[in-house]
Amino acid sequence: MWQWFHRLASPRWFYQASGKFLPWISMLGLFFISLGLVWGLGFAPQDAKQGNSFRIIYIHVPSSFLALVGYYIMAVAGAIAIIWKIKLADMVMKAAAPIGAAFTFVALLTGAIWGKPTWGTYWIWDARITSMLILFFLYLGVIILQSSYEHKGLSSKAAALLALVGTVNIPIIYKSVDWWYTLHQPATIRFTEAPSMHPDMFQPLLVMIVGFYFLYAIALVASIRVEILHRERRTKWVQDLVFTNKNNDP
Amino acid sequence: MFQFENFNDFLYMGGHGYYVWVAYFSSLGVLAFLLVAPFFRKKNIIKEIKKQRHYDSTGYS
Repeated sequence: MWQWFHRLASPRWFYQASGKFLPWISMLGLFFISLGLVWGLGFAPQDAKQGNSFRIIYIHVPSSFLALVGYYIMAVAGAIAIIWKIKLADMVMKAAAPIGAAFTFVALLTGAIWGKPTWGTYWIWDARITSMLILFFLYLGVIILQSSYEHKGLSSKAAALLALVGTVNIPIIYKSVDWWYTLHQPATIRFTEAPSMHPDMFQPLLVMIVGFYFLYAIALVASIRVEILHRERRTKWVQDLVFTNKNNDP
Repeated sequence: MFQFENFNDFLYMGGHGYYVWVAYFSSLGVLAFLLVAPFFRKKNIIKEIKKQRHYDSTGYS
C-alpha cells in the first residue's frame, strides 16, 4: 500500500501518466465548454426578471465553484506537503494557487458586470462579495509567500500554513448569503434540495460546471507537469526526455 | 430552440448585450491564458535545459 502511494507521488510517474490522459480530458473539456456556451448563450430561455443579463450565470457560477474547490485542493496539497514531505504535493499547491486566483478573478469580474444591469452597481461591500474578495487576496498571499524566502522549503511551508488558515473563509463564503442579509441572490444549486431554477436554464449550467471542472483539471495538470520539469531538470529522466525525444515534446 | 430572431438580436441581447459579451469574452480570455501559459513555460524550460547541456559540454554559453 505504501509502495503504491509513493509511486503515485513520484513526480516522474505522474509526469508520464498525466501525459497519457491530458489529451483526453482536453477533448472532453472542449466538448463540454463549447456545448455549454452555445446552449447557455443562445438556447436557454431568458430570465423573466433579469432578461438576458442572467446568461452571465453560466460563467459566474461555475468559476465561483472552482474558485472554492480549487482552494481546498491547494490547502489539502499544502497540508500533505508539510506533514508527509511529499514533493509532488508541494508542486500541486504551487500550481493550484495562480489557477485558483484566476477563477476567483473571473467570478468577481463576471459578478461585477452582472451587478450593473441587475442591482445598478458594479460593486457593493456585501458579505458574499467581500468574502470572495478575501479569497482572492488569500490566493495572492499564497502565491507571494511561495517565492518570499530564499530557502525553498521555508516559503512553501509558510504558503501552506496560510492556505490552511484561509480555509475558514470557504464555509463563510458558502453560507454568507444565508447568514447575512445581502443583495446577492441565494444559492441556485444546493446539495440538499432541488435547484431553484427551471430545468431549461439549469441543464446548460450543469454542462458548464462539468466543463469548468475539466478546464480546471487541464490547467492544473499542465501546470504541475511544467513544475515537475522545472524542479527535476537536473535528473537523468528529464535529461533523457529532452534529448532523446526528436520532436522536443516530452 | 434558438431564442433570438436573428444575429443582430443575438448580439443585442435585449439591451444587455454589452454586459453579457464583455463578461464572456474577458472570462474566456483569462481562462484561455491559463491553458496556454504552461505550454510556453514548458518550451522555455526545455530551452534552458538544452542551453545548460551545451554549456556543460563546451564551457561556452
